[in-house]
Amino acid sequence: MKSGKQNGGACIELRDISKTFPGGHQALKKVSLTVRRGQTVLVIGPSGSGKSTLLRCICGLEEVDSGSIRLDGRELTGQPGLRDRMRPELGMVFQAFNLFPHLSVLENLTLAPIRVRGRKKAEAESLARELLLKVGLADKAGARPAQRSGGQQQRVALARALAMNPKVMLFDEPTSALDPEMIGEVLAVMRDLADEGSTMLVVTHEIGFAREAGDELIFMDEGEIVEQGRAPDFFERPRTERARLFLDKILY
Amino acid sequence: MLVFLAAALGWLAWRVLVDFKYDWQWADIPQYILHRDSGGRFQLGTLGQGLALTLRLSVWASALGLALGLGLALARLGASLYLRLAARSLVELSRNIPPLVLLLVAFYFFGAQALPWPRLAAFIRDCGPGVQWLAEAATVRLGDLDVFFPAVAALAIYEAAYFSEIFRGAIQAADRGQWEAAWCLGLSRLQQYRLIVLPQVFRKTAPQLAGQFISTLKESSVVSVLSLAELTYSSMKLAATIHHLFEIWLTAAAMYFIFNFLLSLLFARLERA
Repeated sequence: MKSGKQNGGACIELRDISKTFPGGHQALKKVSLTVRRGQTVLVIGPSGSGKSTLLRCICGLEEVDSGSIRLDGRELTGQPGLRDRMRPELGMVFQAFNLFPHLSVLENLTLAPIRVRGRKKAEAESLARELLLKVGLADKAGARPAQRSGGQQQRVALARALAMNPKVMLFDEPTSALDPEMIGEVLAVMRDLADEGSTMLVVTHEIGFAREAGDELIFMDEGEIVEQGRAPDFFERPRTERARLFLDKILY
Repeated sequence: MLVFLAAALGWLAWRVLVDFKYDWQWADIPQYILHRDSGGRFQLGTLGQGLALTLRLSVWASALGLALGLGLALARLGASLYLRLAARSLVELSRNIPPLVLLLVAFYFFGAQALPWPRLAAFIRDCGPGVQWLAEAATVRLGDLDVFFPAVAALAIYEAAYFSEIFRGAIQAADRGQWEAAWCLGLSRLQQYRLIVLPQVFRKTAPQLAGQFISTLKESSVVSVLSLAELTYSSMKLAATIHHLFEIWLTAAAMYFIFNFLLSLLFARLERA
């Protein structure tokens, strides 16, 4: 467990958000959730439970049908202009990394700070090098992403999101596309971030990580939040039948 | 199959070498490509100049066609219905009209009517010999501008349709994750295109674009109907003067072939690099 960390006010507040895809599949059913500043919230659940859709709705890649999304108290839904300005405040890390293959590792990190935040090139590069050091890839600045292993690519992607200094980091199954031996290096960086007091919302299949890394655990199924609480409580004393079924499947 | 092929080749060889009453005269031909003037310097002959003009035509037509094609592709993928319809119409028009007819329309419209070519030529002449030399080196002698630019325009429109389809396919095939990552970092739509998607599209379509350049080079021979002295017209003119028909046309064919083939080798090499 993390210690000595102060949780602040609400960073992300979702109230009753719903999303139905064209074709009729309802991915989210009136989901409400609060992530406080400095808090790490983990989301687990079977595939198709709406976890990824939840993240994509928060960062704006999907539009919600109804409900409210607040970032630092400011309502984002129905405000295209504000929503646009807030995009870089939500740092997204994708399952497939989505690094820009035509740019070097360093350029992947400096592109948006220069083009979106208007940083000077030298300033952006020194920040990028700091972040690469932090994710353990200081010597890979000049490489092309495609030449790196999956674990290294995902750490670059993480650093790229951090380079925008977002208010909250969103992780969409960041280790699901990785070979098993590379999962640890990505989780280690995420754990460091959590310990430093970054605000994080993490969708994951890594049960070991979910058990001990987060401040709060959310279990989703069929587009709903079924259980919410501290991780040890959930794993030792699941309150619902659906959670028990899920745990039976993944633990044994 | 092989026996049949060998028989056909044998017959052709016999037909050409033995049965063919033709007085081959190759010795005169090379001077029409390249020769030394009285001062001993190398000068392009009729065919050499023709190839040089073919090349200039193709470079202009491809450059404009590339730009127009990219614009058409973006318009067809854009949000505006009017732009989509306009771009679609232009692509369909140029894909369904023979390039020769397109060329004649462009010539009689742009060349003869729409633009004041003599005044443009006079303007360039007034700018001084340096400017005139530069303009003529990049295009044609000033008197032929009224033919050159309609020809370039027609070829460019014709090629733009193909370029736009190449670009459109590649943009549509671009990984959705690239758009999403760029969007999440806060890049504007324009920046997503300019900084993320298009650089990758150019890289991926380079072989097709190179192929299209070679096809422009071949297609440019239609311009000969406008009496513009590119390689095909130069060959026609020369054939009418010195009557060595076979030698001249085989030479022209060889010049097209060798140049295009070397280009395709070069592109293939660049692609691997």
